[in-house]
Amino acid sequence: MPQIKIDPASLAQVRRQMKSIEEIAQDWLVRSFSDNTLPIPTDVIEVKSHFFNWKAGVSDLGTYSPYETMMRIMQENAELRLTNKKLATIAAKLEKRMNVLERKLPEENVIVLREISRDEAKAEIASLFSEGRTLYYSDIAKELQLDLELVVDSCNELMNEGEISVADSA
Amino acid sequence: MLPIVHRDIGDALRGEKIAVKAEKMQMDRVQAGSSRHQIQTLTLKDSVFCIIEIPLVASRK
Repeated sequence: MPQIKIDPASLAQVRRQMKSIEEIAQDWLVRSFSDNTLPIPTDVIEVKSHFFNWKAGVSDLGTYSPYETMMRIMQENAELRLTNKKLATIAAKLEKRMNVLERKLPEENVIVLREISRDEAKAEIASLFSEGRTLYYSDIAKELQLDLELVVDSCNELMNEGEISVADSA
Repeated sequence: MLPIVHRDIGDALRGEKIAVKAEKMQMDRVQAGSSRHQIQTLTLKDSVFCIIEIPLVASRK
């Protein structure tokens, strides 16, 4: 393997530049946190925090160098992105399934029942039939917001009185 | 006046259309046979009232 000779002056210059980049990055991070406007990639924050933790000797990643830490975090992020993609696919499938189930569910309409007297109910039902419609008990109860038993009762009375009758189609 | 009311345990109703009311309803989905003939079951509890529906019209006078 060929030996690479590095000029100490160049190395010092690179270190100064790295220092400068670090300061810029730190300044950018501080501004991002304070004004809360700049978007910060998660990788940058994690690498930065791990770097400082490593320098302070309290890194939860042990004695890894910043480079190793960064590589590990990048790998971790790649895995997380993959998991995220899988989860998004599962969520899309679940959403699709939920939509199908929702369509299959019976429609629920809340009807607030009115409390009226039997005579009033009979009059209202009779006027409903005067329009010449064919109606079931449930249709009447729904339309007039009346109790089903009251509707059946009133309809039977109207049938006995000859006001209404069973349709020929029955 | 209500029609004949069956109250005995074990009495059954059979019809094309039955209107019901109850305090509690539990929908149990059961699929039997082909997809065209899906069967669903429903359990009603407390103050249950069911009536076999009949189409009604105004009497011709």
